[in-house]
Amino acid sequence: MTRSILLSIAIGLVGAALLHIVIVLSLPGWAGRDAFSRVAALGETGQFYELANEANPTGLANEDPHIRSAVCRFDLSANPVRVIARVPVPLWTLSVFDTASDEVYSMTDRSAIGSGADITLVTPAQMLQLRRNMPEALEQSVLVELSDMEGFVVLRAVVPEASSERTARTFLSEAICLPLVIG
Amino acid sequence: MFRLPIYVLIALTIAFGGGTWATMRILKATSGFGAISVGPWEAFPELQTADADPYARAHRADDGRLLFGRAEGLVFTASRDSDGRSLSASCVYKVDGLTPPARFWTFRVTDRSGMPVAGLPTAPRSLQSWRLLQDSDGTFHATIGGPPHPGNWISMSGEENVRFVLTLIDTPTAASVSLGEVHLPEISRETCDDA
Repeated sequence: MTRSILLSIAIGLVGAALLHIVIVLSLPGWAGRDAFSRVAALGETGQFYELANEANPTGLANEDPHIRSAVCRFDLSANPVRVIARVPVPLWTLSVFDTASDEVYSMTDRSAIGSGADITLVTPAQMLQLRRNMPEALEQSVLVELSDMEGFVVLRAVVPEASSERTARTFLSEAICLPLVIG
Repeated sequence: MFRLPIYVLIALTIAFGGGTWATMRILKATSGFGAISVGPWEAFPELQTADADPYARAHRADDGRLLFGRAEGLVFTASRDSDGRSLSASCVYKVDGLTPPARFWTFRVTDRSGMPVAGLPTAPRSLQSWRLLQDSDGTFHATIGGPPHPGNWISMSGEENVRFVLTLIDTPTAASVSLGEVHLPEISRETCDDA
């Protein structure tokens, strides 16, 4: 009797261990609340959404009181996407994530060419097309080749004092993230 | 005769109940194996990358935060003081020392789930490196919690366990291999309001 109970507990623990492994490995696929799903729930591609400073139902907020961020979801299947933000701020950073919310590219204002952010996200095929015939407008743009078609861009600006809130908000609200039609 | 179903039930309950419960607890508690620890501080420089381990990926997917890219910055958190005791909002702490090189950093207090901790109204709740009192050698001294204090001070009130979060923006720390050279401030407990 005791042996059977011990045996069933042992079988239960083995099952629990197996289930643990299954959950850990499969969770990224069906969590539904990972960063990409939350960004996708904000709205359409092709525009930056500024995040609120307080926790809210979207699940995305500016957690750091000195950092403001905006996100833009993109889809490269038709055209490359160009991200431009030119309002001067003391420090900005940018990163690009794929649909699995893995980082594929990141930079700060120091590594930018000229002033402001100007990057163009392209697929390998679009990169070949651009290499053959580089539009003049893109000469200052950082070309980032992505293997995934979809993903999102996070743009951040620092707000050291409350007085810089407005500049940072202008930087984020005037940032664009639009498909680039190659002529 | 009716024992077998009971054994099966025990096994299934442990497997599903225990397995799910333990997994959820582990995923809330840890961000995976890729931590770098310096004193009480820890950071996960690879959490947002494709190289993150399965635990880190599961934690990240469940958490759903926008993480910092490698070039953007690195976040260190501490949930214990330098003597290994849990940080509590009802205590007063001194934070002293150097921070790793970064163009900008912020220091703030959150609860265990990452939400900001209420402080006194109109009192500072975060520190940032561009307006900070520092010694000539770059060390800083800050008081966390308690009544308003001269120098660097941030307010924190409540009873709960808290975390200190140090966010470094544009720092070479994430890429530095010799993490033994990274200096982070000491956290020492001053007094506790146990009443």
